[in-house]
This record gives sequence, structure tokens and C-alpha cells, in this order.
Amino acid sequence: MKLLKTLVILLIIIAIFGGAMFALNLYTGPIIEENNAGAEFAPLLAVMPEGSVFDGEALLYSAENPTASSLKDVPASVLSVYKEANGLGYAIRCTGESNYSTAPMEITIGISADGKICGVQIDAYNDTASFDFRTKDPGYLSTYIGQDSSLSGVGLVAGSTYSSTAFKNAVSEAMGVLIANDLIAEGVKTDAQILTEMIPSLHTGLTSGGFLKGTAVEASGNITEGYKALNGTGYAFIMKNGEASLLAIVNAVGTCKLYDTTGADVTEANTALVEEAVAAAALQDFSADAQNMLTATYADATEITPVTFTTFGNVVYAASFVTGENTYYAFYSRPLTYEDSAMAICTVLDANGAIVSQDIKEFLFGHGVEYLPAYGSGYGDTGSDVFKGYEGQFAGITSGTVSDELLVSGATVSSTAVKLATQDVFAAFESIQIGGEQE
Amino acid sequence: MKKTKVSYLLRGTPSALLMLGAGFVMASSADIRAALGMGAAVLLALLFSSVVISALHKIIPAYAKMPAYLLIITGFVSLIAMVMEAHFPVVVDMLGVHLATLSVSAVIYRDAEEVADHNGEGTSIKTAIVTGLFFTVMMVLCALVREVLGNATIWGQPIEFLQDYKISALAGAFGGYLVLAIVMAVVNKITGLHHHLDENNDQEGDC
Repeated sequence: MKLLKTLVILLIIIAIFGGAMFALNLYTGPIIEENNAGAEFAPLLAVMPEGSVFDGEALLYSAENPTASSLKDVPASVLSVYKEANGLGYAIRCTGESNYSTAPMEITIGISADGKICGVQIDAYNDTASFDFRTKDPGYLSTYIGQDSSLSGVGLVAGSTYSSTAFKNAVSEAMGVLIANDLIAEGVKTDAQILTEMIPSLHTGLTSGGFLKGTAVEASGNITEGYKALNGTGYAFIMKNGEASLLAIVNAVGTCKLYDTTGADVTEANTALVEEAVAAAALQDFSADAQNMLTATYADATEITPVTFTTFGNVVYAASFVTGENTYYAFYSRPLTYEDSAMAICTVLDANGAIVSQDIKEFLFGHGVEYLPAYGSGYGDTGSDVFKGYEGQFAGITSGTVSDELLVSGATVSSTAVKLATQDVFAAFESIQIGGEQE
Repeated sequence: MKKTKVSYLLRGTPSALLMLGAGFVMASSADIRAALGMGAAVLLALLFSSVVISALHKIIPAYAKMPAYLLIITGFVSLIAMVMEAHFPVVVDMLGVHLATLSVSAVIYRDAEEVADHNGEGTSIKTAIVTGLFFTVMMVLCALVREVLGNATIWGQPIEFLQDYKISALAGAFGGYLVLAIVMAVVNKITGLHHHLDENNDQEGDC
């Protein structure tokens, strides 16, 4: 009886509160639903023009349920695509990831119906804080506003190249979804943009990890924009040629080549522009540094004679010299490594093009301490065994025997830079053999 | 220390004296908005459940009281949570699961069992209001310290000159207990509650 009475009392209480909750839900339910929708759309409204509205029909694509969408060719970086209710445009939530990402960046992009970016916002930044491009260049995000899919007016942030590239690529991929589905028109790249994108493949000394690594130089004469290599390996200029634009690249010893937007070599036909580009390039003189490094190993080197090379890599100085009764070639190269600092490498080849010796110096993070000997045990301490005998491995290598075996696990960035520089040395040596002339 | 009217009222204040609801203070006092939200929820839940329990305590048999009271408290907490979610979603997000767990809070159940179950509506309402108000004051005091010094914000707005000096630990759980302990010590010092407790303990020991 007690149990029954208890149950009845509890059931009555449950029924009363159940009814009250049901009644209250009639009032609060729609408000909560509206709040939730507002929270979902709040980041979208922040990147869209004032007066934009997103309703229940807004979601065109969600990565959580891609099969429910009619959109095609959506990359994995795109999380969701929304359509503004009044046809003002689209909002896309996407991710971007770089080598320095602990997790993908989360990005929201607003794109107006005419295919121009009307807003960008980073919802979560998960790259290394010291490389945060928003801190290094507070105005960077605003350069995206008004851009079409070509992103012709958008560059990268020096010192945050990987992170800003990841962001730019994410924006580009997001816009690509709308283009692939005929929702917006594709933007047209400018000649300058096309030529700038050609620099990493034509002048590898101006790049690291595939990214352009140069400081901007002022426009003058026919030069509309230009870049000076961070490691002193030369320059790249975008130059006016009537209505068209050309790319001029200059290496560390003043060799210049000109290319048009199709990638064709037009050097011979534009000698005046070549002279202007070479004159504008304030080249650094590395002869003293190179010869000091050379004579540290070859104290008896004589007849050190600079030679000109015609390649566009990391080599900044080359010379022939005599030791004993033999003639050798020394190449001084400066590939970029961590934090865009330049290594110093002196490679000596014999007359047959095989490496006789390779001396490598890397100064890390501005500590003024050589990286390779100190690797793995702190700056300035006695080094670990990782690089023991590393430089000696290069002896006897020729252009045909450079392989990934030269890479060091755990020091991939440094050893990759050394490998690339070694390849550049062989290319420079070949250019000397083919057409270089002794000065 | 001389017993004041305030010290008398504080005597039953859960977090100041009895360490009841300390978890709620820790969890909800990192932001003043959350503290006010939790304080309001506790006050309303106390008020409504005390009124209903005091009105029904003679009808509900002794053996059914505990589950019945828990159901009544849970019901009111759920109703309050629904209204808050509709009108103060930001605060509900801040409080998270702690708002729901208010249903089983000893803060409310103690008032229901000790006061509402033995007194009429008038006394129950008065006690519920006093308890709820002082619980809220304690929460807000803690939140004021933690938000300003721990997050360098006030009402969610950044205080620019404090940005470089904020003590992040205060915004965490450790900071919550630390600040609560300091606030309790100050309240006890001002009101002489610890003497009141000592006297009671001495008297009980003499018996």
C-alpha cells in the first residue's frame, strides 16, 4: 500500500511537471530553435554584406553528409557551403593546413554573387603563434576583400609563408567549388600574377619549399614589381613590354633571362630590357666569404679565378683554382633553411665533375652557432652523431648519383637544402662546361 | 566578534559557511554573466520548490518525501533551464552541464528538507530568498575577482590595460576554489561566523 501510494504521488508530480514542460516548450521551443539557427549562421553573416539572410534552405553542402548535396568536385578542405536567401552570394566554411598546423585553420569566406570576396574570417588559427600572419601583417586579410577567384591582388606574408599560403590555398579551393558548380564566374589572372607564379620554377634560388622567398623591390623604369632573393641568389622582375608583361630573372653573377606569360624564353629579342634588369639588380659580392671558406680547407689553393655560370639556383659564386698540380672548381651556395636563414656551402669539384669535398655551415635561429655539429644536443653543445661524417658522404658524388640517401632523418629541412644546393652546383658546373667563360 | 544581523543571515548561506554548492561556485564564477545566471537559477529553483514543498509537505507521506522533493526540484530546475535557454543562451552555454546538475544540488535540497518541510510558505519564501541572494552575492564576488584578474575582462569585454597582467590560473578550477576560499575567509572575518561555529561546537561538546 505504501509503495502504491508513493508511486501515485510520484506519478502525479511527474505528470504535472511533464505537462508544465510541454506547455512551456510551446513557448520556448521556437525561440531556442531560432537561437540555434542564429548561432550557426552568425559566422556567415559576419562575412556577408549587411542585410544578408540565411534560412533553413541555406545549406548547399555539408562535409558531414556530402551525398545529400548536388554540388560536385568539393575538396576535403571545404566543410560547408551556404547560399544567401536573397541571392546576395555564398558563404563557405573551410579549413587550411600548413607544415606548422597543429590542427587545420578554420576559415569562413563570404563571396558575393558577382564572384568577389566580400568577407574573410579566421574562426580558429592553429598554426604556430609566432608565424601568425595576422600579427605579422594586420592588413593581410583585408587584401582579400574585392578579389575574384584569381586572387591577383593577394600576396603572401613574409615570415609566415607556409601559413599564409595555406590560407590563400583554402580560399582558392573554396571559390573553386562555386566555379566548378557554375555558381560564380571564374576570375582571370593578370599577367603579373601569372609571371610571379612562374618564379619558383625558373629561379629556384628565390624559393624554398616551393615558395617565393624574396623581399619586394621598388618599381622603376619598365620594372613594375620585383623581388630580391633573401639569400642573395639574385632578383626577379616583372617588366612592362608595351601592353604585355615579361618576367626577368637575374642570378647572383648577373646572368639574366626573360620569359613571357607562356613561359617562352624571349631573352634574345629584348636585350634592352635585359640590360635594364641587370642594372637594377644590386648584386651582393660573395667572393670574400667564398674564398675564406675555400682556403680554410685548401690553404695552398692558388690561381683562384671567378667563373660565370648561367643557372638560376642557390649558387652565388664559382671559381676555378689550382692545388698541387690539379685544377678544381669551387662553388659557394646559400640555400635557405629554418626561419629563412641561409646556409653557407662550399663544394669543390674536380675537372670531371665529381665532388672532392663539401664544407657546410648553417647558423640556426640567429644563435650564431653552427647547427650541424650542435644538432640534437642544444645550441653550442657537443653535437650528436646524426651529422657525424655527413659532409664526407659527398666525396665522389657526381650529378648522376645525387640521391635521397643524402637526406638525414630528423634533419630533413637542413639535409634537403644541402641536397638541392648540391644539385644546383652540378647544374652550374655543367653551364660552365657548356658556355661559361673564364673572366 | 559581535553577532550582527548580516552574520545571522549568512549563517545559513551555503557557500559561505557550509561549503554546499562550492562546485557550482567554482564552475560558474569565471564570468560575471555566468555567476548571475547561476545565482538566478538557484534563487528561482529554491523559491519555487520551497513554496510547493512547504504547501505539500503535510500531504506527502514521510517515506515518499525524498523522491518527491527531488522530482519537484528537478521539475523546477528543468523549467527554469528551458526559459534560460530561450532568453539567455550565452549564459546557458557558459554554465553547461552545471545548470542541469542543479537538480541534485544539496544547496536546494537542504532548504527543501530542513526549512520547507517544517515550516509554512512565508518562512520558506523568506529563507529561499535569503539563501538564494547570498549564494548569488558569493558567486558574483568570486566572479568579479576571477573575471577581472583571471581573464582581464568584465562582462565579457576586455580590459585593455590588464591584458598583460592577467593571472590565467584564476580563471581555472584551481582559481575558482582559491578565490572562494579567500572570499569565505573575508566573509567569516567580517561576520564572525567562525566564532559562532566554534561556540556551537563547544556547546555540543559540553552536552
